[in-house]
Amino acid sequence: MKKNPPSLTGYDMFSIQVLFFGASAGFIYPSLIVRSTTGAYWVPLVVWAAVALLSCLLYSKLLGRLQEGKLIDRLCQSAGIPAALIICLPQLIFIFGALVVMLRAYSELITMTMLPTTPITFLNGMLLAPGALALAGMMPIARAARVLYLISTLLSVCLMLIGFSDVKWTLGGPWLFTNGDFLMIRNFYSGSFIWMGFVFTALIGSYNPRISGRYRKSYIYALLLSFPMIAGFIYLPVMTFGRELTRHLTLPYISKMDSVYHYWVVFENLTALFVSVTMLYVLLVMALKLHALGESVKSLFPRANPIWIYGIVVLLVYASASALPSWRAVEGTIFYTLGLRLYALFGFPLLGLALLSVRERKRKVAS
Amino acid sequence: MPEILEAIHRLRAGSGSRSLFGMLRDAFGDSADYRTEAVGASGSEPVYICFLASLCSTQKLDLLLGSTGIGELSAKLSRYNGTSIGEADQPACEKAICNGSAVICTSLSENGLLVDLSETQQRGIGSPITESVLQGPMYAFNENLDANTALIRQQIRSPKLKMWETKVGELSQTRIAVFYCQGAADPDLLASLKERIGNIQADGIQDSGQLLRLLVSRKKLGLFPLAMSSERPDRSTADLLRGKMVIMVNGSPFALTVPAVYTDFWHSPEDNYVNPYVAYFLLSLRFLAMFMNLFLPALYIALTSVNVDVNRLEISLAASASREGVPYPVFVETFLMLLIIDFITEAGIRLPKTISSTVTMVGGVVLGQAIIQANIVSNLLVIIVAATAITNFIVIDYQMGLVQRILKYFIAIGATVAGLLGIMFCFACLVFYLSCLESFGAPYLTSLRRKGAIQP
Repeated sequence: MKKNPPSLTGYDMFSIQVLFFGASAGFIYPSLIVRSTTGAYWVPLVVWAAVALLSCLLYSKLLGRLQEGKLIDRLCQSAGIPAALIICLPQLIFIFGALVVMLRAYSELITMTMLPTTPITFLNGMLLAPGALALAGMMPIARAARVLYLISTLLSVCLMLIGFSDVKWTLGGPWLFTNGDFLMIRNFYSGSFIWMGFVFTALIGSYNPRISGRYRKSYIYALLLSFPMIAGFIYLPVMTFGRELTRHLTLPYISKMDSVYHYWVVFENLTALFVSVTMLYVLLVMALKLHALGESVKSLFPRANPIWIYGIVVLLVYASASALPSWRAVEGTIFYTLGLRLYALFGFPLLGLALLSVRERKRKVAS
Repeated sequence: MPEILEAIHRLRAGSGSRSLFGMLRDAFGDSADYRTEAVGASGSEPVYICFLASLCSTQKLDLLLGSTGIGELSAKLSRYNGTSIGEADQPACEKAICNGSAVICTSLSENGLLVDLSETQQRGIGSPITESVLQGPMYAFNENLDANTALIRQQIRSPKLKMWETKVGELSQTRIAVFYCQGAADPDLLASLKERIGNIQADGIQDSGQLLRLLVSRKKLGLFPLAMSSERPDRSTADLLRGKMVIMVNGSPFALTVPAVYTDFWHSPEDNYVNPYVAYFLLSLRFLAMFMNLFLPALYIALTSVNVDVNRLEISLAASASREGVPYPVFVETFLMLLIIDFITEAGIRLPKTISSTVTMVGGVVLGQAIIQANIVSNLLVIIVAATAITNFIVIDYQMGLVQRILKYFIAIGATVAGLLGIMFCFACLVFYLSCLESFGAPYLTSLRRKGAIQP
């Protein structure tokens, strides 16, 4: 009897989604949101959360059509490899771009805060560990996610709670006012990247209608749990420095961590702790992205050796991340890849659904 | 005993050029403990008994030997009433002699009769040495497989407890037993275990640790122990009830429990016998000790050389003051001290107990004091290293303790390269590595909660 490919449990998916939020929301994202509106900051968050939920439902519907199989494999079977390649290519470029941005942004963050003299090319070498984990497979990633979720979330929440000790709540206002101005600001759209964890988990593991329900639920729970954390990343600096000053900060939450001082806290520089904890999130999420990319390429090119696929992907990501000239280039890349993100959110699942529906209808007609 | 006598009379003379008696003499001729004694006659042929004196019970042998008259053979053999005596050819006779049996044959017969006179040398049931507890059973396995089987059977008096036995080792013919609880153990794992044991190619096996190395393929052989090694019958039986399998090797007092996951190595058998809140507290304490053991030296390196601004100013100043006059970089003094403390630990384990306490005293106190006065290392580092050594002894499993000792160097290297980030990176690598490991089909990183026991 043929053994079904492994699938992620609800807790695995939940842990991965929370780690994804933790890896994405802490450094660039607060500045993007703070610069996007003069109204209440939670409104853009809710808007994107709603958009993400809608996209997640689409993916869930698509994955529900699978009968114990991987998404890309099924697309290849339904449409043939060339057509599947055309549908998947923007998705693959999106994942590649997300990897490059995450690696470079985190290396820049380290350079700005902790190791100013260490070359970026050396720091980018951290990609090797996620590369090895990605090659090891999906289940090792899930197991590592379960452990890192417990450790890193606990530390992040502790740091955030400490950060609440010297805030002025009045600085966070207006709490309810919004005029929708963020819709016209590109930063609002640039910030879409933090909501997309479910896109990566959809590309790994095997799915059926039951697992797709689990996939949907785990994302909703992760979103509900992470929303206060994401809001904390934005509101804490605002409630400490005020709106105007925060708008001028490149990394508002990092600056906030820098400002925390209590005689009973053993460590004086909480920024270093925050950046170190973020490393756990980032390494795991990069492994997830690499695995999603590697597995997709493997499905599209079944004859290729997995070691070569992962090796080439790691090398390309490393080279691209090292080639980005500055922090501004990182921010620019985030904005210019918006189209790819929108495709990943809506284009890909809609096309996938259409493809599978046509295929099903054809089969019915034939039978 | 007419049946035995009849069997002796029935032994046929060899058709070939050599008799069994001669072939046995050739095989064991150079062994000083090989004996042949004439104990009677079958017709005109004298009857001999051949055995290895070192393996046979003197008391049982006395029944056959000691008297002189050849006509008394029938009377001598009658003492063995009820003993299973079988006929065997030359290879079987050789094997039986190596197992402590005696062979009765005539000078011309090609087969012989096997009489089990074996006596196993073993120590008595003692207290556990490596897994001592304050509450719980105080007896441990010994080197005898039958005695160990009895200890397990005494704790699980159910037909569901099964035991599969085989022999491994071309020359040693070591008995290996696999215990499992029917209905609780995974049949696939059992089948795979039997296959793996059956495939072992080795001249001899002396210990369960050696068996584990042979069971795990060279490709999968990693740093972490993939089976739990225990000398406590209560621990093994508890694992059997939880659906695990226990492998025992004749000659080794340590039972292997498979599959073993990472958290198993942090549970003491005592956890089941004390108040659950206390057990959770102790478990937390052990995990805290693990983290301290892994990270304390690395944190010292990171916070005093790379990320000096992370610490509070007062602590940083104190650390700098204590390092005043130390001519080496932080990582050199740390590695030096870690190596010295490992030397002392190793010396303490290997030396006789009476001397080891002296070595520990000299190493710990005298050397520590002298090394500070000589400005080779700082005061703070001595505290750090001492704390690291103490936390290493909290590790329940000896093999895991050894792994911890190695890993602290790995994390210290990370701290030397990139400070706090290096520590985190190494920690993440460790988690990634653990998440890739599997112990006999079970993922090494599974939840902290233990599965409930079955009712036998």
